[in-house]
Amino acid sequence: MKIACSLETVELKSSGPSKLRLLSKGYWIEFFQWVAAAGFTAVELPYNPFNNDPLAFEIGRCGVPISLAAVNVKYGSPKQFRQKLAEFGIADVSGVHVQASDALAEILATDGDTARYFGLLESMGREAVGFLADLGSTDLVVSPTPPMGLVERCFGGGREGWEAGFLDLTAAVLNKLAREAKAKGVRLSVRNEFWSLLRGTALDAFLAKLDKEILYSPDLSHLAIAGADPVAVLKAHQGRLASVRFNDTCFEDVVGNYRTSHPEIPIQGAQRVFCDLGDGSVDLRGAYQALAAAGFDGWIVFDSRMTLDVPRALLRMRWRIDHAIAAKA
Amino acid sequence: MGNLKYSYMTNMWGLMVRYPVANQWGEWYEGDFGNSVYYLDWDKILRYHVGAGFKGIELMFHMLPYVNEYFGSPKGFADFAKERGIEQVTGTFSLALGSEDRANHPAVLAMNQKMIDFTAELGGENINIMPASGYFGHGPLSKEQLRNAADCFNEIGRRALDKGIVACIHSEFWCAVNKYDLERFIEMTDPKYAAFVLDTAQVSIMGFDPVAMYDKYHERIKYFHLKDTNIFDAPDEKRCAAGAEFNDEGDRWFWELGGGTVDFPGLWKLLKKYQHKGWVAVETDGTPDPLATLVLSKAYIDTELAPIYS
Repeated sequence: MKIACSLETVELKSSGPSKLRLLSKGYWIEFFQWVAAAGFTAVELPYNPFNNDPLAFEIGRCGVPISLAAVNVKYGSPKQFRQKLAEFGIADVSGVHVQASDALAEILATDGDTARYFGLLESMGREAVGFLADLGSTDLVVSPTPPMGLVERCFGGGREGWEAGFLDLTAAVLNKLAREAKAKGVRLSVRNEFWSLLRGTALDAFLAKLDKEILYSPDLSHLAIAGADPVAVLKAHQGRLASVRFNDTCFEDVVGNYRTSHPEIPIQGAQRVFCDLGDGSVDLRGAYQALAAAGFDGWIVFDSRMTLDVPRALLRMRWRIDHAIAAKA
Repeated sequence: MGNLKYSYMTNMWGLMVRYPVANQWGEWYEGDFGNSVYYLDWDKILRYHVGAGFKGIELMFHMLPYVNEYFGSPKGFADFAKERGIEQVTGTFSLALGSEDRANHPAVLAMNQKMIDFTAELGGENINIMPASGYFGHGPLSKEQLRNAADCFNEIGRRALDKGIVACIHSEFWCAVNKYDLERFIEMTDPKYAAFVLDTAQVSIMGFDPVAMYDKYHERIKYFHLKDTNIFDAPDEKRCAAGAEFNDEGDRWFWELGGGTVDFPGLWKLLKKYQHKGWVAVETDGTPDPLATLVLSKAYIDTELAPIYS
């Protein structure tokens, strides 16, 4: 198994001391040094090519390596960005993560014409494939639907059974993208979220609609919040895994927060959805052992989403990987 | 009742304050034992402003979807703020990216119409607008492009006035309307529809003396973004670089009042001379500690500036 660290450990959107510094190139240069110091030699990158959505605009213009345009402007080119990573001791990019939510956010920020959604999803994926090819990396990981509360508001219109049509069109876009990606040496996989139309084990039926070459990149916290057993999911899909996101949570969604349009920022009840790796209740060691037993040779991508202290989270992750999750018995 | 009332632009807290109210303090503190919990919700952040003596706040353009999602409506947010002692959401900040090209005007106007409606529903008085694209990749602008941007601004201002809101040109040191054509741009716009907000640090970084600028344009300057800087007349290559607003090295452009070299006492003497009345705003984006900056700025106002004019 190969180990990477996700840049999504850095939460860019919400408030805090020194938060705007996270938008500068200087922060990321230092962050990559922290990543390497914590013993990670690969990273997974989030990807968002849009700039009309106000938050995407703010994040994409000053140094966060979030898109081809951002990388070209601040790091020269994808190739030069890889060289910069290598200087710090980060030899690999495990993959790039795109989220369908970002395509819908772009539409809602402009003309609100949801008829453009699937075209925008496709163009986002196509751009990310090109970026991966330029980076010399191979894994495009797609979160395939926006939050179900938002999708229902934008596409449901109170109609019975609208979800099936929406998912059929999603599958068609992903199948088309996967074929184009293959021609560029990139493989496509889908990731689950506890708030998507494909939450928990609902993704299983969707995978059956996809070309066999499209793989699954499970996110363990999201599975746990959705009530699925992460270890059982890994075992059930062991022949179709691309990468596995190891992260942690002790969040119990007792108020049905997953149905809202802002599921990762709950208003009622408990609000801390994710926690630092090892602070929660996900059976991370069990998951690791299941992958080892299956002879999994793909990427394990670690993160501590929404951590309150990034450098500490990186060090905590390394210690917990070495001394708990992947420790020899 | 004094002549000046103080508002604060809330962009220094981050792109998006995460929660309306953080329900359980311990959920964030236990296990982390840090101070992040103090920065996570509007409930506390609004009370910091009131505690420091700022009874007004401003919102960024990227708060529009957040406010609608989490507070139901702009009025819902304004009411939430009033319950915590904020008298008024005094205004907002918006952008007119691409206005230098007439083909973009429908989209720019549609976006700013949303912001005008948002500002009105918040109960705001003004909307501060970056008038064109960023300099990098777009500047310098030709006379025709400048004319296009000015026409677009006039139309935004006309629409704003229909709702009782004053549209103010907000200069940015990294905007395509820059040092060499800012004054020409001001002259190209219609005083009926386009006021000017004097951002003391932004104009200093471009090489304008903010005190002299107020003296010259006091009839157009209806509003203030007060912030300090220790950089005067930054070189073009630094000011106009890609993503110049967030320095690659992480250095600060902007400081709390009294932390830089802007002549605020000189400005206050002119405020007194011209008998300026109403809301003035402090803006200190990029500070590493919003709470410290908030309190330091108000202390400077109270001890150094208020004795001159208040």
